[in-house]
Amino acid sequence: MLELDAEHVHNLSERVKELSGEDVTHCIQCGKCSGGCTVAPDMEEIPSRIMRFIQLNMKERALTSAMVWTCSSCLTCTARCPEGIDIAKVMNVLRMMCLAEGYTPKEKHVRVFNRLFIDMIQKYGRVYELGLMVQNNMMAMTPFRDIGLLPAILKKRKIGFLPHKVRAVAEVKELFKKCKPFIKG
Amino acid sequence: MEIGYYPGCSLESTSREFDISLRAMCRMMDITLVEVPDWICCGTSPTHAFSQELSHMLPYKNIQKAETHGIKELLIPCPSCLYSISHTEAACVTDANVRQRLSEVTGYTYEGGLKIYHLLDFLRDRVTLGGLKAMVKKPLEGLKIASYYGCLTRFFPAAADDMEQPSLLEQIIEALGGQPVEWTCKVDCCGASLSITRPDITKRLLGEILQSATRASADCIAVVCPLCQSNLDIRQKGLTNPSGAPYAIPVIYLTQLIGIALGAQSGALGMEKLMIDVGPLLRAKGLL
Amino acid sequence: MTESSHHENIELLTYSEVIEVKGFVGNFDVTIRMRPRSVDMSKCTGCGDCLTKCPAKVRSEADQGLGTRRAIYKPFSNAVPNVPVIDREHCIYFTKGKCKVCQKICKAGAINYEQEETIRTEKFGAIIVATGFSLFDISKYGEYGGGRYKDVITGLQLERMIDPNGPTGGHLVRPSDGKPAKSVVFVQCVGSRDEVKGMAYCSKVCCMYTAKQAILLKDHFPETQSYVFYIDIRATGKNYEEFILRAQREYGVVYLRGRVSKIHDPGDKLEVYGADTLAGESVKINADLVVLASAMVPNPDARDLARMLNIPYDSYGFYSEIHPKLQPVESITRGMFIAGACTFPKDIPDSVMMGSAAAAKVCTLFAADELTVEPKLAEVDVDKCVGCFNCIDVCPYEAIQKDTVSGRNVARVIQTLCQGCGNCASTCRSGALDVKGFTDKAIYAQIAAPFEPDEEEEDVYAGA
Repeated sequence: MLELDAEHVHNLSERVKELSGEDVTHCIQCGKCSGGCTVAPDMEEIPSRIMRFIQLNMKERALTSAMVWTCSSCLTCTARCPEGIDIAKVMNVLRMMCLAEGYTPKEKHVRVFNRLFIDMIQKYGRVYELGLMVQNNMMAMTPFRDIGLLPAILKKRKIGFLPHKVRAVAEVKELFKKCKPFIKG
Repeated sequence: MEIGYYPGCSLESTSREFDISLRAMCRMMDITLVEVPDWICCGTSPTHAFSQELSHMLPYKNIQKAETHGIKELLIPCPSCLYSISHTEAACVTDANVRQRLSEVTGYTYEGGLKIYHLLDFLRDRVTLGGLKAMVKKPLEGLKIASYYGCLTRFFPAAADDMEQPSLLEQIIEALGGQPVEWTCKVDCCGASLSITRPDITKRLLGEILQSATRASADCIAVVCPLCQSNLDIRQKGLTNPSGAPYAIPVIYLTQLIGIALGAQSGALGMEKLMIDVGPLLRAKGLL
Repeated sequence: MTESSHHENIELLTYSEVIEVKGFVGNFDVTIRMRPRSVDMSKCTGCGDCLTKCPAKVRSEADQGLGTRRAIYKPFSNAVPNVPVIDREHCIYFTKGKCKVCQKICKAGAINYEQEETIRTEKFGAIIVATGFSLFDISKYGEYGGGRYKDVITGLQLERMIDPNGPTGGHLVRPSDGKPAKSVVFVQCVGSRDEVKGMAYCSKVCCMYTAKQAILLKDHFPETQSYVFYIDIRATGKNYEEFILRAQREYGVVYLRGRVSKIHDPGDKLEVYGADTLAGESVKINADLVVLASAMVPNPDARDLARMLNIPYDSYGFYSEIHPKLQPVESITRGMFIAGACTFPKDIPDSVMMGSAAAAKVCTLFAADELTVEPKLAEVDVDKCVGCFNCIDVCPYEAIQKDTVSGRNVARVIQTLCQGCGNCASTCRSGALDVKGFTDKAIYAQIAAPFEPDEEEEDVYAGA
């Protein structure tokens, strides 16, 4: 049961507006985003429903939804929203809020992958794809996934065996140290 | 002509042939690519889902490196990198908060004025369609090409005249003598960002794209995004059409098609790196 | 239409346009351009022989581009008057100097290629503007294939298709291949309720006409299955809500709550991708035909006409009434009335109501010997007027004229045109112009009042 009260009902939409600049109260729930969403056919939730969660201060549902985490950032929703809301940006902000406030997302693989990707950048300044794939498969407990593709890829020298570390990797580490999740607190 | 160049991580590894063919194409057009020295990863989707500040800082670092090297115009072939970097560049101009914070953290102040190009509008505005046509030695006659923009290219108004039915890639293909086909998945997402984490979703999306290209009788798919290409190409093996037959539609970079049309050797364009062999098709059309 | 064309008190001027309006209520000087039909109306019998023999074919505007007409044509089958017109831009005689088949065929000798336009100026007491609406250009929605996919049509095109006198003889077929359409998807709110690339407002009539169309299709073509994608159902008139429920309950129309995101045309059936937010799912339908309920918008030349008539319009181009609730059919120009969809999307009952109201207002106007107006009018103090005539430049109603008093050039307000807006009064440098009831002196006094010291309140109980 969703219990609403005047003191809290606007909390989540106000916070999302503060962090993303997008006013979710403009959403009229028309569903155009959902109709074109790349991942919606495989997901439990659709993007318009997530927007509704925000409008009604349903924080946990919004922040941990598997759909939010599986969002492919194709920006189709943003391209089509008749109210001009950057929905993909809102999805990103929800993911950041989820991490910042310590919630556990229902879609684990993407969170793990994102973390590995970012760690890779911090370490080398560029993405070391082989390392990323290997580590991801380990973490996802699917060590042999895509292994059939590996010989062909290596043979065509499409992927480096070793990571390419940039010279200014110290500068990169500096950035990581200084960055906060949100520009406006 | 000289132009700044930001390859991005993909063009260094799984999409190396994009870099190779782009460089070959530029050599043939007398364009000097000035690579941003010691560039770093732009962050792309994972960073955008992790930290707003970092998602601006990484591109900003690259802007700093580019400008410090004297680069005033920057060509970014990967639409995802282009999105991150141009987004940050625009935010610096319009949002004082962002500008201040980035300046604070890096010690560098971006004054504005960096011109950033997508491959498509670079070709249209700097090379020009007429100029391109004039350079064609081997027109891609009889080659039916499905123009695949991918989901991000349509966000650059200079590159995509219409978000839903853009036409610039088709115009370029026509200038090369090729035959663009009418097909439905021009701007649909291929699911590359989920390729490693949720390959089940990616496979569904790829299936739809390949089926659409098949229905339109396309001989091959022309792409302008390294993620789309590697996704469609590397993962095509193992995908079957509704009647159970395996797909074998070559997925070629626009720069490779341009290279062929301008008379380059296929070896100079990294064609051998494509997973779905494009040799038989090109030989059949007399282009090899 | 036929009734009005035969009424003794009505003169119907078709194929004509108003090109200038001067004057004021009761005394409008209206200049009308009557374009040449190339057919002599006094001789034409309306037999229709010329219509079938003309060799030049043009896309039919009345059939919304679905069918063709000839260069000599009647706009639609029961047009009034029953006299054709030659479209000189497409007529072979007018463009190439050959043919003349219609003249040869016409038994009444009514064809006259030398006919020229005539201009007439007349006085009219009142003007009612009821210029109607246009439809939103669906090609703006590339994601729907509007204007590209043959089987994506507008609601108006569907009307033409199911009309037995229409381009397909009343058969429900796919424009692309002529095969019967069994699965039909209706998409509401195309161009309406869209702040980004359409109109922000709701076009009011689409929910009802879509339901009507879905019901009609099922009635006439029982094998049809219709789907309607909607955001909200606006069914606010008499029996309207019950009508929508009938469509759903008795005619099997499936209503899906969600906007359509994109339509693909792979070759045979159309693929419609939308959502049903109530079920919480994205939805895909393979359709034979897609009907877009496109927004009602002002005519492309609405703004030009409004400027000519001095009628204010809003940011969309809809004509503004003086008061949206209390004076819905009157424009700010006295004697000029507005009615129907030129003011905002309207259905038939509302348009008829407005038309009747405007007519009644005109009768009231004409029935009186004198014109009663609000006394809030501008007045010139000729002793102060220096004759700079800046006021004439700023008057939106052209209500100020140059006049001579005792040999001096002064301004004079035409009281029947003046609406008391006060532009002239605030512009007048010599303070000669003021608005009765809202004089400068009175306004200054109002501004000064809050700053005056409070008067000592008299203690009425003092000394008690």
